Amino acid sequence: MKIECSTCNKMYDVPDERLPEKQKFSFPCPACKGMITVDLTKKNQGSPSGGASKWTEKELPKGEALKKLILRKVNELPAMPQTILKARQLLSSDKSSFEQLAQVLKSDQAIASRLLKLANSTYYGMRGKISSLQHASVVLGFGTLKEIIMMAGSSSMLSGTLPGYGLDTEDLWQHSLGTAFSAKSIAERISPELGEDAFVAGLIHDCGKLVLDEPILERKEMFTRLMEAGNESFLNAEKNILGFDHAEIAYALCSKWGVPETLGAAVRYHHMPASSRGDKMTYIIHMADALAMMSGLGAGIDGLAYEMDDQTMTLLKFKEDDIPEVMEEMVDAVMKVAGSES
Amino acid sequence: MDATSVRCFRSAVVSSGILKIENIGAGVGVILFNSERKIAAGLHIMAPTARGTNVKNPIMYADTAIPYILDELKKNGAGPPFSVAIAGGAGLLGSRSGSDIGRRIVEAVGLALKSSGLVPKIDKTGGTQIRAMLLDVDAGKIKVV
Repeated sequence: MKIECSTCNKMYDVPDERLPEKQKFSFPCPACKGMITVDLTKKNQGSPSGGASKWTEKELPKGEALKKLILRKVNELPAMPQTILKARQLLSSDKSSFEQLAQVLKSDQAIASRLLKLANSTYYGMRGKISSLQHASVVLGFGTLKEIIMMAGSSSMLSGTLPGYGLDTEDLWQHSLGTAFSAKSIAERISPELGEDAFVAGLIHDCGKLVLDEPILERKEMFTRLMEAGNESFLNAEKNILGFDHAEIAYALCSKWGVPETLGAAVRYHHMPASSRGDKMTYIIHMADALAMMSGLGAGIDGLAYEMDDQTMTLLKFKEDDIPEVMEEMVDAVMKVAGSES
Repeated sequence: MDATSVRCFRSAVVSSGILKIENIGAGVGVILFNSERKIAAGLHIMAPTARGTNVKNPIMYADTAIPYILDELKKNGAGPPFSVAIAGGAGLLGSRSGSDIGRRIVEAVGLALKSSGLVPKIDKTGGTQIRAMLLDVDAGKIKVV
């Protein structure tokens, strides 16, 4: 099992057989001495062994019972750190000061230290030069700081393994980063005012996978059978087998986290933008997600098994010749940012 | 054993160890191997043709990447014959515009190889799955999944 220290973000690979079964335990981090707490009473936090289902296919909950179980998991998932929500509110208000922002960020040392690591990544061209939050805000500007705060707040949530989706450590994080950077890049070409929000929506668009991973793992054979024909979308497979798709669950999480409705809607319809009644942000996230999938960044068993809306390129005034350039920028950004955290 | 990983828009020439091209989506991974000299090249191409544009990165386009890598192999003392494997070119479902770029990259790679007198021995392209290629240069064994 991979265990991450929430204070210094160091990862430890602990053999499953050395872990006490179904117990909650704590131990000091060998690197920073901060306490690491692992709760194995909640199945979702563990099960990294990727173990097969304890249930037979017949015994697995179905229909309403399964829906209830999944919705309960939505409520069990940790809330978006309050630090991030408060910091974003302050950054959006003209009346707030840097002192207020620094106060909020300093209250969460894990996020503050992750923020500094990201600010010093080669992507922002300031490697090793940013020494404090104040320095970051002066050198990088509030717009970039918003972007970094969002990444610092979501990286640990999105970096774990998701065996149901066949995603290894960092895979979902890399895909989310790729979608966020492409969304920003596409928005800047057609509607620069949407750039910041597009980045945030891109970052969290697949958070529903955190909830659906375990039910998918338990029904892996059913998914394999349905996907074998090669013309079924993974979204339909989720709907048919689980009753929900990951975009619906992501929307439920966005509502729980207090994410603005405009972003929540883009997350909800990122695989079927036509249902958004022409919402530009939704089409941006749809295109950005497609580019991240096409680049192969952090892809799992679902691969590219999703439908692409044919109106997308026209609506976004996106030319086929633009694709390689945006993808190259995206891959470069992901490598530089993800590399800064390891 | 040393492993060299080739990511999107990049290439590598190696003479020992493992050569890997992972996470191949719509792009096309190409491995050229001269088994006699034990020299291999791997590249991960992401677009069909440069169409006369100012090319900053020759590995991006199929029509510039293949001549570029053959030249690199030549500089490393390796000429034909080469064993060639290609993989990737995946596409999203039910799409016509933009997202069938994978199919067009595969076609362009095929043409570029053909004009250099090369034919892939292994061709695992198309579909919706992400692929990976792995060549053990010392043993001369290749695996494409």
